[in-house]
Amino acid sequence: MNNSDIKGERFKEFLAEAEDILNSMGKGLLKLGKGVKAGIIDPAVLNSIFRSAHTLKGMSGVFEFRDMGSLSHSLEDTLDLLRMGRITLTDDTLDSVMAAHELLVRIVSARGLGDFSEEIEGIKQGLARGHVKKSKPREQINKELLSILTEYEEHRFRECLRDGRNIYIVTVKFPITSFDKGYVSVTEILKTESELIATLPSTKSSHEVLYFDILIGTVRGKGFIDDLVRPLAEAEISVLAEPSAKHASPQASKSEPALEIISGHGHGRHLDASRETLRRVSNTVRVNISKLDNIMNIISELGILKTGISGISSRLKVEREFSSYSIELSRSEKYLERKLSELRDSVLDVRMVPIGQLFGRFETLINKLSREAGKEIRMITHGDETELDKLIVEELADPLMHIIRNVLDHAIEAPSAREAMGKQRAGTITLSAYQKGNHVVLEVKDDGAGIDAELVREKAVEKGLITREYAKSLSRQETLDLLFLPGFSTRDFVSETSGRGVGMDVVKENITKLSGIIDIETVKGRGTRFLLTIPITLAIIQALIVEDLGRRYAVPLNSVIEIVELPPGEMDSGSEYITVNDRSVPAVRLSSFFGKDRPFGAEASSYGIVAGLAEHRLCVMVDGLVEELEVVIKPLPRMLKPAGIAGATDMGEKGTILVLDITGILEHVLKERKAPARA
Amino acid sequence: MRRKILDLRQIQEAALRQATIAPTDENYSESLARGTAEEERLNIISFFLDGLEYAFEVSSAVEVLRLKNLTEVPKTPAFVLGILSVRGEMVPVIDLKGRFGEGLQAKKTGRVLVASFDDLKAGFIVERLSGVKEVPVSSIDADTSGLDEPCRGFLKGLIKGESLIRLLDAGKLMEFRADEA
Repeated sequence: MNNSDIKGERFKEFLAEAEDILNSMGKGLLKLGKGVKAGIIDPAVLNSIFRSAHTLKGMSGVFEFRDMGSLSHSLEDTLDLLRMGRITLTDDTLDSVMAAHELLVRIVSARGLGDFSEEIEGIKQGLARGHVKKSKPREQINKELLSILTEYEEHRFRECLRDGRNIYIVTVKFPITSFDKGYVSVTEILKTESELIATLPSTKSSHEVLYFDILIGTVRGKGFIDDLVRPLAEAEISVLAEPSAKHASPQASKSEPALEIISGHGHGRHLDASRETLRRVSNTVRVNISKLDNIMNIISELGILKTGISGISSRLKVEREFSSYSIELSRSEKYLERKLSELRDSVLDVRMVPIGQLFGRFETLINKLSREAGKEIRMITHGDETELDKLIVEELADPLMHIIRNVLDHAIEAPSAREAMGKQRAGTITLSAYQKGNHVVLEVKDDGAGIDAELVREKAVEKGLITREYAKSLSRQETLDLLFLPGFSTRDFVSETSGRGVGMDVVKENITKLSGIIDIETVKGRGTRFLLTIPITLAIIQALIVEDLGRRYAVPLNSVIEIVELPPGEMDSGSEYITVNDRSVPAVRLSSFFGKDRPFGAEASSYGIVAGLAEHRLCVMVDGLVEELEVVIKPLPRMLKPAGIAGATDMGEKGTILVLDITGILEHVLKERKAPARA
Repeated sequence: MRRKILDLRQIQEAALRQATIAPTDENYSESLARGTAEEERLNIISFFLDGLEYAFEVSSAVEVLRLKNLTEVPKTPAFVLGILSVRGEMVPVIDLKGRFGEGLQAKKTGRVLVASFDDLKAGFIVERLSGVKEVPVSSIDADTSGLDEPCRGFLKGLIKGESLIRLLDAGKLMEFRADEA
């Protein structure tokens, strides 16, 4: 293995790209799997999986990444035979292909380390077993047409004929200046109702106009396709074959000229191919997130400049002789503001990826693990399109995986046990995501055994994590919180699957790092629901500006659970807890946390900001709430790192205000008060 | 060397903007026009504090700002008066006399001279900026043991000319921890 020698930036880039390709391959495989179950195989999906494998093989060659190279080569071979229809897609073949994909994912995440040669051999053999030859019938096809189709296109052409679909040639023309956009829009719309077999550039192309002959197979009639394309481009449809006679139009015999056109030259094809590659390259740009952070910084500085301008414009308003300028200025300023916020939204948008990318990875995992554990598990996902910051999505992969593994191992019962309880044989894990304000809520729900709070309490005492006396004082929710204590989920909650000595405390830690909140809801015998509430992005935060003892602070709203109004006297001096929603929550006065004592008798009504960190809650009390704003957090200088302060934000004319680190305050307060030994 | 020129320009701009450059301004332009003289010279930016003259090397000075919108930061050393946003970057503002251990200057007005060291930046409150000067390197004495002032531990050396100028070490001034008293 000399893979470990390969280092450096280019290698990292290569791995990132390989990950992307495997990701889209995984999505394709899922679609394919669903298709096989339903008895329909979408050739376009199969072809895209083949292309992924092909690209991977090529890339591995460049980097001498041998493990990946040899495996993706075998995979490519099998997929090629599949897409050409030379072999049949059986369940076994599909399993082998999925296993190969899964191993490739692991090889890539091992970053060139580790020895996979045995596993690769196993999978290669599995792939080879699938190579059962299919008989290849022959249809009569015009030789001239065949001569310009690739082998794959020919195969698809035959398949369409065999399926009894109508074969048309849609001839479209575009001005040379906008042909690329036009072509894409026409093919996109055609794809919705037909299969694109090939695009044959027409010989008719002139200097100003390009013609394309698009060869399609469809169950639709000619008139239908005509109506479909007409709004987008001038089109002429010729019929090559029309088995479904009921759609046949009187002009069906017009197929002759079309075939003449097809017998054209090769140079047009060349143009077609080069355009396709260009399109692929220009569609995606790989950008380092830190560059986007830079842009965000500039945008926030522009925002500050804008505030300065609005100051001038309001001062001008008072000066009578300048009032007309002031109106103009404030109009421009409004426009500037709108454009700035559009700019910021689009930069944020660039960072966003659909959570489905992540869910997809779990489906293969669940399939594999449940098979190994002898359980039957169905995975359902909702809200795949929900978007989250790319960085956050990556950070969520591990905690979600731990939760799912735990569910798989401990929550979902064996099929026979489930039947005995009157449940469905197959357990269900539901992954859902939905947006809630500036947060995304991720839900992992199962219909398994649920968590027995009594058992949790017992175990925690047994392990010496808490005293029996303290255990008795815990509410049900607080008892469930014990699951997140380090050292709780050691032996009993760890099996081979969820093993590796990591437990729910790691999950908590990861979620905390993202300023997220984790909650558990469970019903014994019915199932459990893990709710992860995560901020959409970390670059810009929604903040609540609060005031205490005459100072202003920004509280990141992503850590705020609720805000309660506390009438005067609610918080007696000396009391360290207040009750919010039947839950006793530790409380702290913001200014006294920062070491500023309140003059006696200054206690007026105040507000409690209930913040959460993983399963913990803290009520931070302040004098007043000022406003809600979007702010960009800047780190404090390195030599100043006071507890409880995450950074500062520049508010332009209003000066700089500190952004609180609620997590830090909470941890500090809990540590000071030594949680279990409370009064 | 390129870095120096760049910073010089910044300082010049800042100085012109502030329009505080007093008599030495002309000397400065002259010295620029003369270019590097036969003798090795060092550009410094000097200021007064409590009647004593201090200086930073121009290469470690970034800009001069008017002190406003200072934000106090709790749980930091007393000589850290707060933070200031300098072009989007949060910079601590330090009271020099406090930093020397003499007790705070008490005056929180005036100008802030922003200096940098490596990737660190800090602002220092100065009372009277006397401008950019060019001094012969030979006039700098690295031996500060003779000086009986609390600032001694934060100096690069003493510039001995018509008057004594204390050449500050930006790195040492910024080297402190948040929990320092």
